[in-house]
Amino acid sequence: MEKVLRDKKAILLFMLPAVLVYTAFVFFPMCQSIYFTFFEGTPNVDFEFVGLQNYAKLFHDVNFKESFLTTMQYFLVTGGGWVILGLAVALMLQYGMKRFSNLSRTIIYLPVVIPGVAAAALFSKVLEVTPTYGLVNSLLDLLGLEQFIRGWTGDSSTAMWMVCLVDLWKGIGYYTVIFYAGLVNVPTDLEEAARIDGAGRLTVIRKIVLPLLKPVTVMCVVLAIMNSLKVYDMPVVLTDGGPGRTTTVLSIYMYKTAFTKWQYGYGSTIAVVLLILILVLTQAVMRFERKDGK
Amino acid sequence: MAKLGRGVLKFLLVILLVIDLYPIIWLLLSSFKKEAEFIKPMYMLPEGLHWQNYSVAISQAHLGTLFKNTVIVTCTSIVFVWLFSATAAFAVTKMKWRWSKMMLHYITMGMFIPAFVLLLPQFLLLQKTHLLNSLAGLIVIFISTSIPMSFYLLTGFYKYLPDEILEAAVMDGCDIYRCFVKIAIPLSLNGAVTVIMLAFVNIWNDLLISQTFVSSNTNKLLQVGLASFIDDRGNRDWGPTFATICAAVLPTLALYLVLNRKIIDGLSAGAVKG
Amino acid sequence: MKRNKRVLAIWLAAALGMSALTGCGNEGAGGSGNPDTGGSAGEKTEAETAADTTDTADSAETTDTAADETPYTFKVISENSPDDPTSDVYAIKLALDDYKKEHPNFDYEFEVVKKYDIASKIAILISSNDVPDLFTYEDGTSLDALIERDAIVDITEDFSRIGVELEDVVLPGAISSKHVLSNYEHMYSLPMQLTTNGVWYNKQMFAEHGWNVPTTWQEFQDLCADIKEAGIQPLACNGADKWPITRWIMLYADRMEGENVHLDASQNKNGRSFRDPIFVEAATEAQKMFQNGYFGEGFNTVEASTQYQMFLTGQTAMMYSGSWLLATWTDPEVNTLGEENIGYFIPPGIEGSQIDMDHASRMDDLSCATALCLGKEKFETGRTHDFLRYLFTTLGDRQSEVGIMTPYVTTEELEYSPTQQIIVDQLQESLYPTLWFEAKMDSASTDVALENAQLLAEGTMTPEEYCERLASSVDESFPVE
Repeated sequence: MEKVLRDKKAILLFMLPAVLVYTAFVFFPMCQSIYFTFFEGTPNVDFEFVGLQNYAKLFHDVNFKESFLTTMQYFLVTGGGWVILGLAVALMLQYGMKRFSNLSRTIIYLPVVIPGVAAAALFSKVLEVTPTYGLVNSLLDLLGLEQFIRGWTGDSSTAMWMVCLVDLWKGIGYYTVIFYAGLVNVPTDLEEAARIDGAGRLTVIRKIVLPLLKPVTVMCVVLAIMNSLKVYDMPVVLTDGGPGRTTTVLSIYMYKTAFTKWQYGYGSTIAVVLLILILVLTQAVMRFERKDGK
Repeated sequence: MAKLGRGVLKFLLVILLVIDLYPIIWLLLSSFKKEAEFIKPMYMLPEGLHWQNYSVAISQAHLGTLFKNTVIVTCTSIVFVWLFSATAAFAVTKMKWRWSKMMLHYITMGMFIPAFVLLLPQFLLLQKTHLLNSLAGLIVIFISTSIPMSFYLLTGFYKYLPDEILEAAVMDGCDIYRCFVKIAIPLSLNGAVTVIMLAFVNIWNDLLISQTFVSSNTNKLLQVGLASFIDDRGNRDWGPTFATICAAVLPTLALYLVLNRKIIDGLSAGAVKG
Repeated sequence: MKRNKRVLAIWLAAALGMSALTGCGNEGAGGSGNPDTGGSAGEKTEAETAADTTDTADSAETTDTAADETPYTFKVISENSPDDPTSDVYAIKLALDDYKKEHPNFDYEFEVVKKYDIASKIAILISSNDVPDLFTYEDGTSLDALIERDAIVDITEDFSRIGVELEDVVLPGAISSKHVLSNYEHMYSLPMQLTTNGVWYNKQMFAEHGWNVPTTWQEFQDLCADIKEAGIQPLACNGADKWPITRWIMLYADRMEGENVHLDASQNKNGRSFRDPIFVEAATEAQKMFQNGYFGEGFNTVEASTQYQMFLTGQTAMMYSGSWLLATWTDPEVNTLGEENIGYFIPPGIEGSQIDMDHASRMDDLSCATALCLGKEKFETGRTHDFLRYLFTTLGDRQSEVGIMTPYVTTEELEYSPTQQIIVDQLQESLYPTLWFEAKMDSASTDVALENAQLLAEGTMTPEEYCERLASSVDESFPVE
C-alpha cells in the first residue's frame, strides 16, 4: 500500500500539469507585479527603477485614500451584508420554510449565476430616471412617493449605495446556501435536548447553533473578504467610477492608473497593497478561528 | 405564538423571493416589448411577444459568434480545470510525499490573488508566446486562474474519501492510476459537478480578463460583446438591449436550473467539510 | 442649395489663419493655413492625379507589388462601430471594402473600443509593440503620451511617404486646427470631421410659445426660465460624459474675457490661473444653470445618444452639442422634428463684458472631433502606403456621401441638407476659434476637471473648491515661477 502511495512517477504526473500552468501564469506574474512596483513607466519602452518611491507616493495620494475608503464602505456594507444577511436568510429558511426549501434555495441562488455585466445593465434600467422612469421610479410614482424619485446612479450621495445594494442582492444567495448547508448539519438531538430543558428558540440559536456554525461562518467571512475587496464589475458597468470619484473602488483606480495613465509601476503598487490587505485580513480571521477552535 | 413567528418569517421570505425574482422576470418580459411600449411605465406587461428584438440582437450584437467563442472557451477550460485540479488534489491528499503540505498551501494561495494584479504580466507573457488575441490564450489564462479554487474544493472532497476503500483496491491489485480513475473519481462526482459548475459560472460571467486579452471582433466573448452593445445602443434600443442581456444570462440560468440540486448539494458539502 | 466647397475652404483658412495671428496656439501655427493652397483645393483633382503619377510612380510600383504579394491584415481600432452607417468610421470601412476587392491579399480587422477604454487599449498595445495601423484617439494633450513613446507617425514629416502630400488631401482649415491642437511643432494626427459646437433648438416649439433666439447671455438665462415654467425641459445635457458640464464654465468665462482665457489657465500661462475670480464666477454660473433645473433631472446619468433622442423627439427645447452626429438627423425615425425644424445659435455674449456681442457670436469651439492616428511601427514597413493613399484621396468624397462634414478634399460638388447647411454657414461665421475646456490640460488635471464637474453640477461641490482643486492640479504640472 505504502509503495503505491509513494509512487514518485505518479505523483509527478498528477501534480505537474496544475503546478506548471499555475506557476507560469499565476505565481510568476504575481512576482513580476511586485517587481514592477519598484519601477515606473511603460514596460519595454521606458521603465526606470525608482525604488520605494511608489510606496511613498501612496501615502500622499488623496485619490488613493478616497478609493480606499470607498472600498472599505463596500467591504463593510456589501461584504458584511453578505455574511450577516446570508446567515439570517439561512436561519429563516431553516425555521420558517422547511417545505419549500429547495425551491426557495433555487430562487435565492438565482442572482448569483447572472453575469455581473447583465445585472449591472439590468439595474441601470431599473434605477433609471431620464428620459423615462425606470422600474423603481415608476413604482414610486405609482405609490404617490414622487419626492423620492431621483437619479439613483447619477447622484453622488446615492451612487455608491446603489452599487453596494445591487451587489448585495446579487451575492446573498451564495452565502445563504453555504450557511444553510451548515445549519442542516447541526445535529437535531442537541437542539431537542436544549428545547426540552426549556430554552426558547432564540436562545437555542444563540447558544447552540451559532457556535456550531463557526467553521462555516469563518469560511464565509474569508470568502466575503476576498470577493468584496476584489470588486470590479459592478461599479464599472453601473456607474463607471462616478459621479466624480464616488464609486471608484481600488481595483478601478488601479486599472485606470496602470492602463490609462501609463503608470504601470504605481498601478502595480496599488494592486500589491490590495493583495496585502486581503492576505492580512483573511489570515487574521483564520487565526481567530484556530485560536478557539480545536 | 410560535405560529405567528412562523408566519412572519414566511412573509419575510416571500418578500425576499419576490425581490430576487422580480427583476429577472421584468427583464424577460421587457425583452418582448416593442420600442413604443417603453414610454409607458416600466412595470406594465408587454403587449405581445415582439420576437424581433431577439433577431435584431442576434444580428447586430453578433450573438452567434459571441456565443460560439464563449462556449468553446468555457467548455474547454472547465474540462482542463477539473482534470488538472482533480489529479493534483488527489496527489496532495491521498499520496504520501514530503512536499505535499507545501504544495497544498502553494496552490491554495492563488485563491487570494485578485485577477487584476496579474493582468499586465500575463499580457506580456501571452504576447511573447504569441497567444494574444486568441481563444487559446484566454483558455490558458482561465485554466490557471480557476485552478486554485477548484483545487481547494476538491481537496476538501478527497479528504473525506475513506482510505479503506483505496486499501482494498490496492490489495486487489490496482495500481495507483486505476485507484484514481476507478475509485476516486466516481466517489467524488459531487465535487466534480460543484467544481465544474463554479468554474463555468466564473468563466462565462467574466468581464475583466476577456476584455483585456482579446481585441478582435472575431474572438470576443459574450460579456464583453454585451458591454459594448449596451454602450453603443443601450440608451436607444431598449428592446434589443434587454433581449441581448437575456441571451447572455439564459445559458447559465438554464444549466443552473437543471443541475441545481447537485450544485447546491456539492457547494454545501464542500463548504461544510472543507 | 449648392455651395462651392472652394469658398468654404477659403473661409476656413482665413478664419484659422487669423487665429494663428492672434496667438492662439503659437507652436507651429505659422507654417500652416496657407490661403493659396486653400483657394485651389477644389481644382486639385487634376493636379493631384498628375502629382500622383509623377511623384509616386516609383514608390507606387514598389508598394503595389509588395502589397499584392504577401497577405496583410490592416488593423483598425475605433470608438464607433464601422457597421453603423451614421458613424464617422463608416466611410473608412467603405474604403477598406473597396480596396479589398481590388487587392485580394489585403484584409482588414476592425475593433471597436469604448471611448474611455481606448487609452488603456492603446497603452497595452504599445507595451507589446502591436500598435494598430489606424486608430481613433482623443485629440489634444492626450496625444502627447503617444508622441513621447514614438508610437504614432509624425504626419507633418512622414505623411508624404504614402505618395501624396498632406495639403493635397486635407483642407487647410483642418490642418491649421490640428496645429493649434498640438503641443508640438508637427502634426501627429489626422482629422476626422469638421465640427462646430453650439445650441440646437426646436424652431417649431419656439414659434408655438413665442420664444426668440436670445441675443445676450442674460436673455438666454431668462429664456431657459421661461421654458421651464412652461413645463418643458429647456436643455438636454449628457452629463454622464462629463465634458458637457465643463463647457458651460468655458462658455461663460470666454465670453467675459476672451476665447483663450481657459487655455492659458490650463497651463498657467500669461499669468492666468483657475484661481482667478472669473473662473469662480463662471463655475458659479454654470452650477446655477444646473441647479435651476435647466438641464432637467438626473443629468449625470444621461449619455449622448439619450440626449440626442430627448431633443430630437421634442422632449426638450434645446441642446448644446457638436455637429458630429449629423448623419443621424437625416433619419426620420430618429429625428421626429424634421430637419427644417432644427435651428442653431452660438451662446450669446455677456452684456457689460470686455468681449462685445459680435465677437462672442463668432467664438466657436472648432475641432476636428477625434484624432485619427497612424501606428508608427506598421507604417514604417511600407506595406500599407498604397492603401493609405487610396483611403485619403477618396475619403473626402466618401464622407460627404455619408453626410459627414469632411475635412478632406472632395472632388464632387456637394448638396447640403438643411442641418449641414447650418454648419457650413456657421463655419463661415466663426472667426474666433477655440478649443474645448480641457484641451490644453495635462492628463491629471483633465481628470480633476471632468470628475469634479458632475459634483459641481449636482451641487455637492462649491465653485470655489472646484476651481481650487483644478488650479492645484495645474500647478503641479506647470509650476508658477
